[in-house]
Amino acid sequence: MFTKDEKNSSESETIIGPSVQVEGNFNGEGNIIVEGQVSGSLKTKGDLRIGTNAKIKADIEARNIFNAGEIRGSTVIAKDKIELTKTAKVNSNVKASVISIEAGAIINGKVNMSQEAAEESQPLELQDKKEKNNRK
Amino acid sequence: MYVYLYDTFISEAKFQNTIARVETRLTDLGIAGKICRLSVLTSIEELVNDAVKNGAETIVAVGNDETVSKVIPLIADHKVSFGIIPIGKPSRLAQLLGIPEGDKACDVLSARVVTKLDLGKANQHYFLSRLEIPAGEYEIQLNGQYTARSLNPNQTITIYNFDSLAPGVVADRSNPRDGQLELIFSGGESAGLGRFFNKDSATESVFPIKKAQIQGLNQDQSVIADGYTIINTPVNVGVARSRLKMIVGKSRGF
Repeated sequence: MFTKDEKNSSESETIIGPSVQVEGNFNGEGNIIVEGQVSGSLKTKGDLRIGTNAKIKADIEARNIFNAGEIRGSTVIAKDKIELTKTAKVNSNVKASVISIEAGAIINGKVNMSQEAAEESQPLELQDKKEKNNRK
Repeated sequence: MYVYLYDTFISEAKFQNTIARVETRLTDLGIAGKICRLSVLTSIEELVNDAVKNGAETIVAVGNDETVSKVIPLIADHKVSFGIIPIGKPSRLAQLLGIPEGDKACDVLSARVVTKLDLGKANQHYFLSRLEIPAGEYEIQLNGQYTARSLNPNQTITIYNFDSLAPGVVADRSNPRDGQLELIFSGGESAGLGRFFNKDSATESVFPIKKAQIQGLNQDQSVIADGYTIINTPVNVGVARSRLKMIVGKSRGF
């Protein structure tokens, strides 16, 4: 996923290369590949791919997040899925509907998943109690 | 009405045969028109303004890329169509637009495939293809929201409207009808053995932008529009959407 695939690069809208530093509030609509440094905030309606050597000190929001690098921020929000590879380091709270974590990845922060996923994971007794309360 | 602007170098003896063929072909195609010759004594701005006042519907630059880069900023604010007859050294802009050299360009004019193209704007100057930022220290603010800078002093920075002949991702990404520009950091491979061990240093960075502010951090820094026009920093860059009515050829790069 993070090999030099020219086809993937050309399909993505923004590419922040390894020797480029971005500061400020980045708001995009397409896909983003980060292999350099970003500080501030990084938001997009598309997908975000973070390379092995990337360093991000920002709040992040994207549709799907594929992270192999380092993130420091207060929140990382993926509307759909966040995927952390073995080289990923996340010092941030994380929120997503689906999370995939490879052995070796590091997360220091709260992990919140979607409401539907949280209810499905509750014990059956608690779910029954809730349904009874709702009927009343 | 067609108005043909001949650049000064066209009067050289080595181009006379080519010009004769061009003028014959224009007559055969029924698109001959008024010829205006640029010279030291005539201002290109006066020629263009006079042509527009006199009802010109199409202005044609007869010359090379330098000729085109001089004419485009002057016609961008007028509702005329623009064509090119490339004469002299190979024209990169004409190649991008699918326009062959010499008298063969007359057939493209006659076919009259007109398409509206975006233009880039650097301060008050319009550019068609690219804005080159030479090596140096700059502060570049993009879309009024964030700044970008290269940590590799060997990298070049270019803002493209379109250039299908450029290496790398620019050829695929730049489009003169998408309402945006692309700022590219490119090159900067490490010298010596470094380039074998640090291959990532050559990766391009691509930022789609609608506006940018370029501030040189040293004195007397400038940028270059379409390879010829020098503009001093600070430079405000933007997009003029569908500003140019261009006569293009079939083999254009977009």
